[in-house]
Amino acid sequence: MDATAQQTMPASKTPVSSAALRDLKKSNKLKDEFIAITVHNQKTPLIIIQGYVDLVQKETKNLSDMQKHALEEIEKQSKRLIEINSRLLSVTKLHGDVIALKKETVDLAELTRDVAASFVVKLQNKRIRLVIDTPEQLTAKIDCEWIREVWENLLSNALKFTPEGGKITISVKPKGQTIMCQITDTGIGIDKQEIQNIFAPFYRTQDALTGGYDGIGLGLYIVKLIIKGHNGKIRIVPSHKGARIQFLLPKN
Amino acid sequence: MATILLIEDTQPLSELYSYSIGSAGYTVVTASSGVEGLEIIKRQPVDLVLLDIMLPGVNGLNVLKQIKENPETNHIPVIMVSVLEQDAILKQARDAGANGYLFKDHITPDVLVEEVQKYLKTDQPVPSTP
Repeated sequence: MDATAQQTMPASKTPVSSAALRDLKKSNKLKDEFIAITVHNQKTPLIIIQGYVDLVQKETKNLSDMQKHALEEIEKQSKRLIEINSRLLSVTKLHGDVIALKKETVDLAELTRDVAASFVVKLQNKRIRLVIDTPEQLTAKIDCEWIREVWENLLSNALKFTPEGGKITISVKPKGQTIMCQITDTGIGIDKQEIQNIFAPFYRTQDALTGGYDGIGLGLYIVKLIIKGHNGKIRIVPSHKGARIQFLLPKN
Repeated sequence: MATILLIEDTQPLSELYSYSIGSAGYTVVTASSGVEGLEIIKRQPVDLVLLDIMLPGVNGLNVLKQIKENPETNHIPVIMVSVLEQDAILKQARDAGANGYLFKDHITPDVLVEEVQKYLKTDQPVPSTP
């Protein structure tokens, strides 16, 4: 997505003229616009597919097991495409010159509990215990929708990579002029060698690839862009078991 | 039962929405362009309009303005239905007098019917007779 994000050569060895940099930025912007338009044009066909599947599921009696399965699969795969598109669109929005953050004073503790509550059914289905440690109230000047997306991405990952019967712990605590947020799980974890690449666009860990975990490798990239947009910091805490991710957000 | 005018140029969506609203007992009249929709409003009584934004010719926001600026039609509730989620578009629709705004990717038959019922109840306590 961001052509400059995955540079492998040290900057000093690749001198770039200001004209070349301008061209690069321009083509990067064009690429993001192209993605945004493509995603937008796929929206209506996907909505129509889902609408008809929904209609057939509700209106047709006596479907065979195979027919039911076929409809469920069409629904599942179209939802997956919608999800992928939504992530691509988030990235193009976050690549903008000025990220349109609508910062307002929000109770981050409440927002965190709210997102966690929306995962209750999925967590129960995998018998995963969720522990939330937040003060009653903790306000910060943030963009509520983007930070919601941060928590949703992090919780989705934790849920995906934690086996049945595991545990996810979330905490939100004040730390000086910042707020420290942390999520820990008892899942497959992140290999130490891979920590440096984990926030790169489309990066997927070896374990995620070989373990057959669904995903396109944009979740943590989006999370990083959002935290960066808030002048915050994010890091993976090396852990012997499971994954632990911490991010700091300024209170104001 | 009330008459709903659906202005939507994407044929499969028009079919799906018509089916959902029709199944709930409403009479549905469809138009595939803004001009056609405005002609229908002139011709026959309409209790509520479901209006797409991206339409060929006159776009949905202009259709909305024409409905809301005309004293004979400005009482008709208009619900915008669109894939567009930009704040600027939402604001334009609100400023032009849209009563509701539904994102197409959030629309299910139940959501659509509920929304229609909501505006018919608040804006038109006495439904028109068939």
